[in-house]
Amino acid sequence: MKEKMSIVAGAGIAVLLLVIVVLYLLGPGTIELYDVALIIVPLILVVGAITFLWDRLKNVRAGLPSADERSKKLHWKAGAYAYIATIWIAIGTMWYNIIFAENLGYPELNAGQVVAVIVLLSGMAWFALQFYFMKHGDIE
Amino acid sequence: MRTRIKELRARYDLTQEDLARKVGVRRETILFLEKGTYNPSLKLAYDVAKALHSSIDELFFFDDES
Repeated sequence: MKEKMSIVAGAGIAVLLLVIVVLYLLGPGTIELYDVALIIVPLILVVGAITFLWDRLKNVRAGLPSADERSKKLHWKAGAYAYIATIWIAIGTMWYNIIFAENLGYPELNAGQVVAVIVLLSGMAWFALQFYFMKHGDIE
Repeated sequence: MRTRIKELRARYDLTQEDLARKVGVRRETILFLEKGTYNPSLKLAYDVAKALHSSIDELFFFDDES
């Protein structure tokens, strides 16, 4: 019952995010490259979340647990690796502003953009690492 | 690590899904256990051995060189 509730809650959040993205797309104003990235990256996250939930639902329907010791272990490991990736992404944005924006004339990332980049890319890293680890038996 | 899970599972005419259901894990976990690419916890090793009417040392073994 608890597993089904978490799946329903997860699906609800994914649908809500999708609705927000669609509403944003339908909204007024011009869309620039930065805005497109802000749409595509959450879309990838939503698709990732739906795939993840579908996989869990498939197991529950087959009478199997949605998570077991291996999947939990790999999820935690993916989280730990994603945390390290987040630190590097944050450092990367700082380097971008120093090297590209200040010296090469590229547009500078403001605080809001830096936060958006860090949150979205670390989320993508977490999903990607989970999928990668789940395809392998164990990660030492 | 090598295991005799596949052999014993065949003896008791169990599919990977059947064994996963008996043990309470996902089917892929049984798959990776059979391939020897996942080192289970002592509890999981015991549960799998029990489900196959065997013991841990009969089910899991390491090659000498490893």
